[in-house]
Amino acid sequence: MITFFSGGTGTPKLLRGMLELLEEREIAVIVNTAEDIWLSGNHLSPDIDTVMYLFAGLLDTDRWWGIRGDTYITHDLLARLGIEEFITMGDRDRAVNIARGEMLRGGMRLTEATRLICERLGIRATVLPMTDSEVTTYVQTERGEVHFQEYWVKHRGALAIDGVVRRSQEPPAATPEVIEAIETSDAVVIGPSNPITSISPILECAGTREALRRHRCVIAVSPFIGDAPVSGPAAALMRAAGREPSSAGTYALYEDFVDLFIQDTRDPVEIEGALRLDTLMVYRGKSLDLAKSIITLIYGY
Amino acid sequence: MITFLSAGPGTLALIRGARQILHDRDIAVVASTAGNTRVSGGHVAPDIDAAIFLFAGILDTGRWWGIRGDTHATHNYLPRAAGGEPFPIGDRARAVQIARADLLRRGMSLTEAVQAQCRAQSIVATILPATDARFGVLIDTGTEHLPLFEYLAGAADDTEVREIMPAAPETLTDAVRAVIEASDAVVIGPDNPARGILSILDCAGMRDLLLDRFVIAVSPFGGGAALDPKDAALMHAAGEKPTSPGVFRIYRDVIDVFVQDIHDPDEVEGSLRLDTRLLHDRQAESLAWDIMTVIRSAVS
Repeated sequence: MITFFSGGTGTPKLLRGMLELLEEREIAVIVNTAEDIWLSGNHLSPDIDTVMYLFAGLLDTDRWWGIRGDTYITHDLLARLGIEEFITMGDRDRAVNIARGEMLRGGMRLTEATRLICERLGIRATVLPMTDSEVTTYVQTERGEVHFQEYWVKHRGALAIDGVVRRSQEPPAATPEVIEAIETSDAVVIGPSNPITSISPILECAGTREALRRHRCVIAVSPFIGDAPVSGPAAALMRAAGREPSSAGTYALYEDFVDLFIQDTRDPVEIEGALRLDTLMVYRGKSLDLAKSIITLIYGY
Repeated sequence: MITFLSAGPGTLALIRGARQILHDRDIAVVASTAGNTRVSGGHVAPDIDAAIFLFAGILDTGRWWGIRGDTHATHNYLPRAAGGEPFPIGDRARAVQIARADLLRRGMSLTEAVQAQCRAQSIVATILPATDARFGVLIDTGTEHLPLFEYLAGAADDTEVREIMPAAPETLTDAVRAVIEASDAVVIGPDNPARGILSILDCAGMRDLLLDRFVIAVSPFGGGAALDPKDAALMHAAGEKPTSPGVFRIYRDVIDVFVQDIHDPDEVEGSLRLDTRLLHDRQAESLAWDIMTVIRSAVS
């Protein structure tokens, strides 16, 4: 089994390639939940949904979120009634949010709710939230702290930010399922997701980083080429977190546990011992190539 | 102005008829909150929504709740996501429920939220929740406590009704008091009292307020239609028989005129006999006309 650490972009593109090469049961994904938010009475978990929809064959891969062919009847009428949902919520997508919201309101753990939804969607891979407690990423702006989803989706990243903070009632801890997935995997792959808002929240869950340090084969893929991320707001967030927005800054975050660091062949930043591969997964074939290379690295053939 | 106490299809049909005679601005609807409940994170208020949808011209008058022609993309998808709802909620109706839940979360009272929703839909009539209670009564079925609307719209016909468990004691809102005081008459439509009207009458202050008004009530029973098993179960749980005399006993202290159907075999002394069948809108308009005539001659 291979365990992946994933946010909502970058890593799912790598998973798309992995899905063609591995048996689905041999894939576990530990997913960032620090962007979760209660919206319109229900529980939105953007990164979990993207990963689930990918495995279920439902993902809208033009946007890399939401369900392909979804309708927006409730969302559109809400707007006319003066309620602006800042996320364009499809009707089917909303059903998933409602189902999860009801389960959580009923006292179920997020891990268990995710397992039930995956089962019903016919997903054989293991999709694990990074923790069962609520933890939220906020960016600090002139107007105060803003939920990351609001910053990235509502304001399209167009706010000046000078800090990134995580807020929670209690310090989040990795679930037993997360630790078990790491320990029983042949390799752990930190995908090319945003190091600050996608991967760091996972690493901050008590127990996760220690489990990675104990593991013999942890591979990380840099999401940067030069000082620009392949996609998303990673550069501004790295700077706001006091990190260099580059592969070097990414490596510094992973240094204590990573066994193999992969950067793009075009990346001008030099990291000693790093492996160079084409990490720009602009289409299916590229995802497949990168996945193939990583599997070869893990299993040696 | 005429105020209708509304809790069910009979009153809605009668209001539809009354709209042919009265201007919307002269109609007030005090809708029961007994059916209020929370489903899928939205605020379900069946009697309030039915009144709003009626005046907005979008009510599904086949079943007297929900929006005509609504789609069910979310509801139909829920089972695929390991979820489910006790009754089918349409995508547009859901938007209305989510919007109201949102207004309530922002700190509005139910009355304020409903007024805002009526304004948003340009409704001229006055539609008010009977109380500010967000949640309504529960039905004790012996095995569980079902919200009233879940029982009405989702439960099997033979579900036992051991007890109608009232919501926390509610008092009349200022808005309801004002609208009833400004009304020439109050009409209690032909609906089972146990599915909502009784909850309105049980609000502290409500019966006293009605004593000063001309109140006319129409019996929902005895018109020849087969008795709905749930209507019977609810009436028995309310301690009465599902007949016109049973309904009369619930209303007698507050009403001036009791209307029962011309075919009703059960005699209520002093009642006015009219054709109360509401099978199509002509009949509703005719009954509304008769009721307005009674009101006019009584209060002029």
